[in-house]
Amino acid sequence: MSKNDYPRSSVLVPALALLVLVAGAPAGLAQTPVVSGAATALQASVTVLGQTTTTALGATGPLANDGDARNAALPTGSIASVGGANVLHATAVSAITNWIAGDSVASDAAVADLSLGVGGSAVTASFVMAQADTPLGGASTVRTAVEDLTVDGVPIAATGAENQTVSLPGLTLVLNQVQRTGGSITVTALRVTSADGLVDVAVASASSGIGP
Amino acid sequence: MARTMHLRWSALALAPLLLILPVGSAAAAIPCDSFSGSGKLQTGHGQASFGVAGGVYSGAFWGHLVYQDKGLGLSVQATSVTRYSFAGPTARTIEGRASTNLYGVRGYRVTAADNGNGPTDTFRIDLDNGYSVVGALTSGDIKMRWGNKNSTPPPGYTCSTGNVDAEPPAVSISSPTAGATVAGTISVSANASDNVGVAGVQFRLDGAPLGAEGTASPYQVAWDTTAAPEGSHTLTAVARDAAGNTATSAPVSVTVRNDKTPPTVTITSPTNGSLVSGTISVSADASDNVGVAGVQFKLDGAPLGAEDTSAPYSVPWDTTTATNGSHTLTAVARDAAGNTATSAPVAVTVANLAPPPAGGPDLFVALTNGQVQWRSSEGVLRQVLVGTSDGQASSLAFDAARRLYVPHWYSRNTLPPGNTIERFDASGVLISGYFGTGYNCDPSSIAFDALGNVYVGQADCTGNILKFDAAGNLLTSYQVLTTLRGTDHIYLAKDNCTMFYASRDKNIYRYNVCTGTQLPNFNLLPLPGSNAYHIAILPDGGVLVADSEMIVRLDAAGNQVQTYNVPGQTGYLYGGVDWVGDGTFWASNGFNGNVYRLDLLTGAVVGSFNTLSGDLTAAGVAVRR
Repeated sequence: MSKNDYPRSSVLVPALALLVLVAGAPAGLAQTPVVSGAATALQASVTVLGQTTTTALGATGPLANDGDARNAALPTGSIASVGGANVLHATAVSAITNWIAGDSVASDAAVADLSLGVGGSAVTASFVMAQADTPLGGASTVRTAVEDLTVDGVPIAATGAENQTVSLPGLTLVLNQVQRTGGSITVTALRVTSADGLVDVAVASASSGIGP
Repeated sequence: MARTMHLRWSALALAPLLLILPVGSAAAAIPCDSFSGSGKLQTGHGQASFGVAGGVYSGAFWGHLVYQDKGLGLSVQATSVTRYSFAGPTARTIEGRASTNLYGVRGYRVTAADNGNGPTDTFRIDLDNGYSVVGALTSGDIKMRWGNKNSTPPPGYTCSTGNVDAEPPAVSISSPTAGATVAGTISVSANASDNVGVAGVQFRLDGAPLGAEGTASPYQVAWDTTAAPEGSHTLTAVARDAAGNTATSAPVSVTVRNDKTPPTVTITSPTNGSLVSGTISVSADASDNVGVAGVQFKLDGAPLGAEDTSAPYSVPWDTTTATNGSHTLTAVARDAAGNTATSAPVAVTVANLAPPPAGGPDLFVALTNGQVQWRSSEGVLRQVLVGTSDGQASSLAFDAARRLYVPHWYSRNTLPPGNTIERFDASGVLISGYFGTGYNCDPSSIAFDALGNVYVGQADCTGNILKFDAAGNLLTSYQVLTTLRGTDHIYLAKDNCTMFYASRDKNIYRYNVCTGTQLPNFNLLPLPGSNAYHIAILPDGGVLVADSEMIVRLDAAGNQVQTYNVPGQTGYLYGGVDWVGDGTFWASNGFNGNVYRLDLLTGAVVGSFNTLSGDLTAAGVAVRR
């Protein structure tokens, strides 16, 4: 499905302000918080002759506001000189109803049949997924899955640890790569970079956040 | 992840933003939240991967589907989402159209259930061409999400405040009715309805699924009751809606009664071995545990007339349409269930006389050299029939197939053989071989009964009358009273039992071949001639006797009523006699070879010829009527 975009409506602002009062919003939320979230199934940055080109497949783009929901999907996709995957899936959803406990912002991305060629090596995985979830008033959580990962046919086990790094001749893998910035969190299930830094591939990235 | 979505929607219902929801209509209630997930699952073909999302936003359905069945090489991508609905408290369904690489554009339905993290979640996909895969995730996750302020449903839908459709469908079996007796293949039908919509109806037979679930009205399934044991069975129908609510119909008990017993059938007429002619009725008795639907008679395996569908079962058979000879009748009975039975075959012999030649029936004259003259009704010689024996041909006879039987006395030479019976077919061609064996000596005359059995009178030695079947197998030898020349000439009465015979004396003897009993002589007084040679029983029961010097006629009571002679001849030795059927008869004077045709009433000569074979050479005469 193509991406849906729900721009913020100016008439919602007074309504939301009213809802905060009626529903008893937590103290300290005097202003409407800002939600953030995005998901990308497959993205690659390739630098050639000093010029970097970034290509994203199955990307929701960022949530525009707390009433936004985005999704993207492709049955298959590939990026020149990098590789591709099947069943590319990405969603980013603001589940903010009334700015009360239990509201959240979440995103998830996934691919199947990943097949990359980076740094002279073949990187494959049967399934790669990332989820990010930020509840209102709570700590963000992430979850990733990298199934059947191999480099040049050699299996690499995912430990589940954050930022599991595997350095190999010609490339570096980072599994379950997590980045926290303010009230948001970004998780990339699999990051592959060439040793020369000219190729940078992010497989299944999801981010979510609720900030001031 | 199972959240208490209904509580959340209760809170959301307070929001003035939701005042835009459709009100006051029969709009369908749907969930106004969303879900998203991806993962892998094992299918019957191999592994499958999917990414799916669904929900409502800004008055439209929202979501996507990408799916790949690696085993089949099937790739599916939704091109629209046209429905989002409950499939349970933590399960949702999206529907729409999708493009596929194998099946073109198809309708699809995906139901995803968020039962926790990963492996407990389930995914189901159905295409409208019957493709269906369902299973728990082997990796991945499905997450239910609340809606947001823009989670408004499309026109015609309302957000469900209870979040879950808890109302089950209503379902009842409309056919067959309770207590019905069923057979063969029947249609089992049900009526089903639901406040939101019926997702499917599964029929059950004695609790086990009967056919595949029907997902569209009319809900029905074909049931081949012949596969079920005889007796009582219970039918139910289970209807479900998209929310997973189910309802089971009231049970309907029916009785399966498939008739698997074939009828019985027996041909009652004609009986086996009968000789038949003209038009006869072929009849059969048939019965069945349920009822006989019809009986089809067959002649030599081919249908004989139309099937008779009501008792008594019979069909007329014009035997003149069949060839003379042996034929086989059968009857095939069937019942309404299609069971059939074939009767035991009944063998019959068709024996229809060909119409006599124009001008009257032909005459055959036996000669003492063993030959036979075949002459027209006017006495004109047509052909001389020459066999292989020179034994005297004394008397002649014809069977039902109009074949000529020629008994030969002993042979004057070592070869050819004597004491034989030769046959010529209806066209005068000699039939190879001899009929019967075991003649004592001088077989002299032939008679046939209605069953085709052959009787042979013998002029000398024991003089016994021999009985053969139609194939020439000796059946019986009758030791009868004889005097001068055994049973020189025999003639069987219409009752097929009373054998008249002459022994060249002054009597006409009788013997019952059915009971083996010697009967009183036919003639009440001694015959007037010197020796009674050949006899012929007239249609009125009277008897003509070639009685040496004259022909004598007796009435049916044995009284002598008339004598015949042609005066002025040099000598008299009337030996052969046979009636024509038109009020005349032929008689041969063996003394000089003259053969006369005389009027039965007046004795007037109406025709004559001479055999030109010499004196004392003409023996018996026989008319092929």
